[in-house]
Amino acid sequence: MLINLFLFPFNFLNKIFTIFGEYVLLIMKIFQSPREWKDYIGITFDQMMIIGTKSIPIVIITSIFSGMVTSVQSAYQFESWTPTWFVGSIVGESILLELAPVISALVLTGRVGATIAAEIGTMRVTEQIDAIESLSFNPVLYLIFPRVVAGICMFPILVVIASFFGIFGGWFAAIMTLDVTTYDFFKGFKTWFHPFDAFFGIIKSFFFGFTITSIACFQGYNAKGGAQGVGEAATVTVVTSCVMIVVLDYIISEILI
Amino acid sequence: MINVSSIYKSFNGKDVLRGVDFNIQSGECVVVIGKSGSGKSVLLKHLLGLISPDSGFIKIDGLNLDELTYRELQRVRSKIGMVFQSGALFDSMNVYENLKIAIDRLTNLKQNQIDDRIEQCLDEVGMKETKLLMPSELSGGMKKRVGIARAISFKPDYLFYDEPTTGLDPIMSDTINKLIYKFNKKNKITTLVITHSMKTVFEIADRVLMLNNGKIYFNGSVNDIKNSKDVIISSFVNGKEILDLEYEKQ
Repeated sequence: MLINLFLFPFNFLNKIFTIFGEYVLLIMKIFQSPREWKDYIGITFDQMMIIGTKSIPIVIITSIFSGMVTSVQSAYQFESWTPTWFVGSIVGESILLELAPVISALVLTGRVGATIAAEIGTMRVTEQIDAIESLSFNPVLYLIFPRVVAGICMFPILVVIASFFGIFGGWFAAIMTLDVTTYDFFKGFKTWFHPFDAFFGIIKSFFFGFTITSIACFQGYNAKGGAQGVGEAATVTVVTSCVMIVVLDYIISEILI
Repeated sequence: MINVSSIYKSFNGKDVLRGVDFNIQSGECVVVIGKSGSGKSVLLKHLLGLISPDSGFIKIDGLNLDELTYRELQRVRSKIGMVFQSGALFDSMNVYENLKIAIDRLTNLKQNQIDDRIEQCLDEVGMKETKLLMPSELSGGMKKRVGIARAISFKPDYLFYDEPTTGLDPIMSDTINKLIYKFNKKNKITTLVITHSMKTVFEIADRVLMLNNGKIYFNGSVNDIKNSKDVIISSFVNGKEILDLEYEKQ
């Protein structure tokens, strides 16, 4: 009992490294046969539609409200001792640097990550992946490559959309509920704006797109058992991706800012 | 021709296959029987190259599956039609697309030829009218028949069936058995069937293999297995516990 308690951290670390190793090996398989990539371009475009285009409404809704909340709360914090045009600055910087990429990534973890894990997991437990392999398809290229590439390509586009609507939401809340004019809002927005701020969120989104889709594919691909195994794969995907998003957010900020 | 030689496989320290040897001749229909957990499905996955043996080898048309590159293995797989236990139809595609993806991948047919082939295959299994249905709209028996249509659609040299009649009513089981027999005898497709059903064995098998404790316990004709006095074999053939058989003898 005492020995087990003592060994627990080592066993836990061992398990984490084993899973991480399996994840890396699976993702590396994408790069083993680049000549075959062209066979899967069509499926990749389908996945871009599913992952990207169909996620636009949820990204717009969450980013508008994120911008509105930022506007209202920054006005509340700076009340009486800073000029009102400061709101535009806070909204702009918060949305571009942090809220648009991170909130979008967290929302897409549920919308995209859980869907991918459940879909591939179901294919695993119903022998569809074996069927893919028996038809001479490479299952890694058929299932994982299109989703990961679609994630990497579409997340930045979604973040651009989220940034636009986030700022729109912040502006809307500012002129409707606060004593801020449109001129003041954009004066504040421009005061501390650097072009790099816009790219920073996009850079983050490449990493988030890869992380969410690759974790989801890995979990789904290795799902075991029946419905319970698929549910577990989806849950682990959401939890792991959320943790990885905030960890990566910090690491990328440390490196680039 | 398929040549399986001394294959051993264990999972997490548990031996599943312990030295399995057998050959399947061209055009033959071999049925593998055995209790649940005896390693039948694991054996089938070895033959498809989905699992590698811990030792021993499997040769298909003289090619050792373990020594092949991934591309070569894919080429071997393209000669094998596999019918999965659940049908394993792609649930995001309708019946037509499920067949089309196989034909597209494994043949060089043009679109109009592909359409003709799909019509022909669905007709052969009596499923012509389901072309535009999704797998979720099909019954278990229909899924298996579409699975068979997909497996024969690219004219494979080998057909493997994993428990093709499990979970089906007796009439549908009979239909499936007749289809397996037809494709084996008419199209001369070398066939391997994994099953629990003795009715299937009696109706379609040229030769029967029985797996027991990870080894081939019996390898012979249908008549041999019917007349076998061995307790383990007759227990399985008659569907009775060994103890019950001994009690009946007394």
